[in-house]
Amino acid sequence: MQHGDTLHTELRKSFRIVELQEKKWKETIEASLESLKSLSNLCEQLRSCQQVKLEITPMKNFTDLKERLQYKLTISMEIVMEKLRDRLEILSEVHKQIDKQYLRCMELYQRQASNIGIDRSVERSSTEPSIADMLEWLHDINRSITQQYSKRKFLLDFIQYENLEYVQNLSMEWEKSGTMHDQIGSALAHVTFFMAEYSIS
Amino acid sequence: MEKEKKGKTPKKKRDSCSSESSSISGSSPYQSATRQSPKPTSLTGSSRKIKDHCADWHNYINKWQILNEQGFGITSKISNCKLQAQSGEAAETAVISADTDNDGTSTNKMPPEMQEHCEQLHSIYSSMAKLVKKMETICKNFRGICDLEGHKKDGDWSEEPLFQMWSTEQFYEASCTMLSMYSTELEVKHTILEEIAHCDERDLLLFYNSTWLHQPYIEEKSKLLLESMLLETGHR
Repeated sequence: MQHGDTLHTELRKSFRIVELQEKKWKETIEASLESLKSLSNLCEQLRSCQQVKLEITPMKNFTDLKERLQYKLTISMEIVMEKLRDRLEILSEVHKQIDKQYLRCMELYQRQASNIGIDRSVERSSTEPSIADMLEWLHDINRSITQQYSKRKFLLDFIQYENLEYVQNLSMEWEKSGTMHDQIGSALAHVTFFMAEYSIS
Repeated sequence: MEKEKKGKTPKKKRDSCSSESSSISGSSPYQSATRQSPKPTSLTGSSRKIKDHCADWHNYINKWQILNEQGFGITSKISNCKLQAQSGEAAETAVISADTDNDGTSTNKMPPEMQEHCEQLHSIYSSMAKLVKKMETICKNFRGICDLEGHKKDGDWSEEPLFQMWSTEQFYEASCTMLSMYSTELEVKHTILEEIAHCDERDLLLFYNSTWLHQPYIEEKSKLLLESMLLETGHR
């Protein structure tokens, strides 16, 4: 087996993993949006609960009602947060998988670089992108995923239940943190024939 | 007592109560009772009565939960009606209620669907009140069983428990604790029922909705007590 072949095999495997992990990533992001909406709703309830002056309402006889409701709302929020943390963990796994695969390809390339040579590295055909291009796409996808994961982790780490505005903007910020769909879609489109060879072989 | 003499099995009781337990999902303790209890048919007297009442608790709490969710749907609709009417979006469809000032100007505009929602909420509240009445009956029965057992044993509590560990007093105390939670919660719901349609403040409307849904007076402890009772009596 030639040196380039093992790298090609690893690259094919990497793009296959990217394809599968992207689905997982997308599903997790969508599911998280639902949880974020629930959290926003609960935060609004908590804010209303804090703002209501119970002593001038017909509920004034229930002296500890407000504290009890706040407790129940906080418990519900913690449950939602737990779900969100679990989902963030899934995003972390996706990130790790792709990062691992990218590093494996880079390591393999560095080991074989002198044997493969520059000419072969940049050689491309109508059905097969060059090794350099594919490594670059993998690098871009990996960097993008790292950034998106970090942004989302940061968003969740800084949640304060009292800060309603922050929580209400969270789902918007969550979406704004980007999707990998276009970037991965473009990379996968370029390697369609390259991947097809893999499935035939 | 006639029921005890006939020695009804849990299955028979389930049949006789089929209308009550029809809304219960597959997790009904009656099903597990026939599977797990070593000799379900051998239970008679106080044990039979306690076991049946524990199953009743489970069913009543499930029904309460369903009613609570239905009620929350209605309180949300009422709140939305009020907020829409306030923001003027429903101004055209609003009708003038019978309540007017001396000079004939309206003081309270109610959307037409409000009456229907209030009636639905009242009906749900009535069903919840009936459930609390039934819970009270269970407590009274447990008290009666305690007295009976005490009388039979002549105040000697060192006798073996009826099931595994709990004394009849513990069943009574657990029931009273749960009843207290549900009774207070019912009072809260009664206040919400009376006030929600007359409330104009957004925060207070949201507070009513939230209170109805989260049931602040029903503590997590109630789940633990119920599960303990079911476990003790062999339903779990």
